[in-house]
Amino acid sequence: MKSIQDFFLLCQRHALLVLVLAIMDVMLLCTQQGNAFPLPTNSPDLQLSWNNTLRYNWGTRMQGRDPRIANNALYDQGDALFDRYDTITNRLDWLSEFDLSYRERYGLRVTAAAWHDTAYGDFGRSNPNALGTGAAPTSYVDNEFTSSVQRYYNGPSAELLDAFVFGAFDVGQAIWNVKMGRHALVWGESLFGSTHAVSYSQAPSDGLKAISNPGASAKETALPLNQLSMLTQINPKISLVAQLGFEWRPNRIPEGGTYFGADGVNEGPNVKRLAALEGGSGDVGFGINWRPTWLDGMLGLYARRFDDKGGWLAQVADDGQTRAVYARDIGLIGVTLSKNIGGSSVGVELSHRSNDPLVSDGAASAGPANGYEGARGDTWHGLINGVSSFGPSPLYHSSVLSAELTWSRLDRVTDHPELYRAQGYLPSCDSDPTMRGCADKDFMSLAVSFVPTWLQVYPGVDLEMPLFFSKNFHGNAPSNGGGNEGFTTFKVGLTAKVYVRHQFDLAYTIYDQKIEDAPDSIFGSRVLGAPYSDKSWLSFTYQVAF
Amino acid sequence: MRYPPRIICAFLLMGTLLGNTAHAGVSAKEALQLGASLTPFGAEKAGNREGTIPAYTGGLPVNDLPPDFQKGSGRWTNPFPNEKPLYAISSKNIGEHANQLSETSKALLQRYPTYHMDVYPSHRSVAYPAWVLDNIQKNAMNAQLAKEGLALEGAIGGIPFPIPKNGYEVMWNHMLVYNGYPAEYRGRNWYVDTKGNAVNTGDLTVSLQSNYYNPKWGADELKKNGNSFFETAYNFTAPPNAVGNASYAVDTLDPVEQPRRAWSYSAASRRIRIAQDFTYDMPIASQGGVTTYDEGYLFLGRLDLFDYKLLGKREMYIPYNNYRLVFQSGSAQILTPKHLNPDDVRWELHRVWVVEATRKPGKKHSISRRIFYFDEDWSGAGMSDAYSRNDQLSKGIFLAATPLYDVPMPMARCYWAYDLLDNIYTVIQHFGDPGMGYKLKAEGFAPLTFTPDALPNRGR
Repeated sequence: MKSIQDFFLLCQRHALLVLVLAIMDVMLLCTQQGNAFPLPTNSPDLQLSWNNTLRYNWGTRMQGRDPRIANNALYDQGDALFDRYDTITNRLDWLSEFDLSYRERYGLRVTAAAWHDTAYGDFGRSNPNALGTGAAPTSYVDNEFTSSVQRYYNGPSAELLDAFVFGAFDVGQAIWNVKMGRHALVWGESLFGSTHAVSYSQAPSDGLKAISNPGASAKETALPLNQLSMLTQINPKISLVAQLGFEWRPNRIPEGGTYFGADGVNEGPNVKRLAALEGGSGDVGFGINWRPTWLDGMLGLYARRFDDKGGWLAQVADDGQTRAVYARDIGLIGVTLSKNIGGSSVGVELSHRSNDPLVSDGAASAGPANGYEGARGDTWHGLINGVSSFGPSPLYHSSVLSAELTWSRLDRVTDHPELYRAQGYLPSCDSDPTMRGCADKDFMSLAVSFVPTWLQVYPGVDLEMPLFFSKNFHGNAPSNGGGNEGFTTFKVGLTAKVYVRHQFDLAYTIYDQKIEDAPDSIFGSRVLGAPYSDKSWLSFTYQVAF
Repeated sequence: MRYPPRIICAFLLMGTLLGNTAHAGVSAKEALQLGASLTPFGAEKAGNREGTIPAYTGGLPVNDLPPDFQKGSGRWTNPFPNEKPLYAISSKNIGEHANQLSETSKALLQRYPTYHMDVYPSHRSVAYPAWVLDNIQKNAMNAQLAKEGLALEGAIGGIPFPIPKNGYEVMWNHMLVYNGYPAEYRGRNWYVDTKGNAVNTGDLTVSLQSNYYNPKWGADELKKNGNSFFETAYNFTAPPNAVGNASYAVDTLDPVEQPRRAWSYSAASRRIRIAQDFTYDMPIASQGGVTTYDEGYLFLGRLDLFDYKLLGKREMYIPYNNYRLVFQSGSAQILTPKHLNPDDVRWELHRVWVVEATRKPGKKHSISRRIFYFDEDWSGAGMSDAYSRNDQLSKGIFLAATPLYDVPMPMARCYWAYDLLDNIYTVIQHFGDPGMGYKLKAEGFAPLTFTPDALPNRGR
């Protein structure tokens, strides 16, 4: 019951937040209409709107520590911070979206997010008895969180997201839709993430927010980049897409010593870490969308050249220090298909990457002359997904089933094969390679989401029960950050949508992974993938749009 | 004609003149009735014996517009502002009018003391442009059902069957009414829950066109160019959590060969995706689950799950000339608890075609039986009664006629539905609030308006 007390205590401490929420509520309940803010203008051609989403998240840890994680110096800090039933997030998020359009052809969009979380203090914790602290020292000096952790976790802080202008221009029979400024692009047909998709590394993802902040939409978790993009409709059957980037930003991942973080710190200063070798601007991409009548669907062809947004995060540099290295100039060619088959929306992708950063040796790098890189190679990536809706049944009023099967395979190693962490390349992968995090030839993963809905269960209340399951059921992916065998997420939720614009979610998330005691390792255990198998948690989310 | 008349009569008696045995249209002799005893669109020209339904005299004149009507305003004002109800029907005098009331109307009258129906003088206000009437004349001879009534051939630019012979022909007439094309409009959707709270579930900006009513095309050209009769592209401007989402859907004259296709654009993920099927009895969440995906405008979808039987014609009270309700009344005024504010709903006595749809054995649909009532003047207006759960009356839908008298063009876009089991009702595409309105696009849409890749442009 400590968590409930925590909750009320935090409510008291943050009376202001509670008050803001209460006022919003009263405002919205009084005006059932509650229609955003379509700002009045004098011209019918000019449309202004200002939409806001306020979201409150509370989460608690539901599992005690697994000593194989808690006593491993690579993961001890994230595990030490919260005990079972501690509040792991008590956070308010605000997304604000301003849109201006003239004749529905030209305009601008600016969005911003702000947040404040009281579950994190100024200091992290660590396990002084963790094994392997010599190789993986505590990330923070005196366990004091860095300014970037303070900013992105604690807040209160804010950031600008979208900031772009757009226009639609008629050129002959064609329409050119052009966007310039900070915006996110996601091409292709993938449903659950872009790790093995045509859209890989197209927009940096805010993984920090995505994992710890249920209810955050892709508007917030796909980080926009400064770029020029276009969608040109040549005719009803053919469109072209293109992008040219002027900015590079990395993925955000949970920081070291936070609940969802491994102990490496990505942003800001860190013990024994050098500055990251970043990617650069200049991502380019082209695509053709072709919808021939005979196909009754769409074929997409894409070619991209880009810098990685996810890096080799701990490349060994000089003096036993590590640094993040982001691979430059990855090539991608992909073909996609989308089609309604038997009432289901089906998407298929096949892509080939060249110069793709591969899972690499943690104990060595290519050295300063080669940018401390790891191994690179050519890789295949494929996925097939489907979405189906179902009508009334005795169990529910309607439901949506989505599933995606993902596959990846090494084509060949092209650079620094001596660093490729796989059997036949590194001696450390000679025995039990998968468990040791060594890449397998093939990787396969499955994700399924099923959401039954019950309408008007109470006046004005629709209920949903989102169920989600994903499992990497075969192999460690050859691509760096491509996924580890056995990693499993299971989530069961209950969502109430009240008078359309209020939403309450309760969700229980459980993780599973391959994990074992390893007396032969200095860390005493092996944990395959992010150290989440003792981090199941319960979350409550309330969000309101106005 | 491929078969001797006697055999056709036999089929007629069995009510199965469908499929590959269908002949093209009615006989030339029968078609002569159009413009004589029947109007060019097949309605009875004469009024009824009691004088409560007037003769058809060409509809509202385009040169005598209401003084408060502003062309281009997107609102059509009431051309009969001084009329008072002839009488009101309530639970007390329901017996006197029982034959002219739909079962849902009766149920509402019996259930709610606050409910009544104000009956006004009937006006056959629908008027058609000459080219549509010409097409209907041709359709009478050329249009034919195909694929057991699921598809339509040989028709263009007007109702296909002015002298309908079976339920399928009436259903196709209704789906193909000349109904305010092409247009771009802003409508507002609501449901009112059991407690009487009115919930705004969406403000939509809708682009609508029908290639079937492309005056430049014949039936063959239509078929070659996608065969679509209903294309809608819309985006949400409210509620805030739906803003920017957009969809585009196409319905064709041969849904067996070319089923409905839809694409959606998600503002959150910035993706255009071909949509999975949203069809048949899947409830529409944004309408409180009152209506299903095949109930747009009373019915829009495939005719394969039900048998459609023509029961003939009746005189019924249907919502008609509802300019005040649809264009001139704010939502706060009309959305009273339990039912629409009865003072704002105009009912008129009109002849309707009655079709009974019975779910085929072995087919799955939450509704077991529907009765449809369609205005004989094909204004689009009409009603339906739906039965489910052991043939229990469960739902009624009403679609109101508001002919665009200045064009002239029939128009029926605003409709409402009562869920009689869950006591919720929904109002779809109401144009009475500030900022809402219906704009005809006389010049049509730019060529690349109705494409999946145009969606991000609407939604953002």
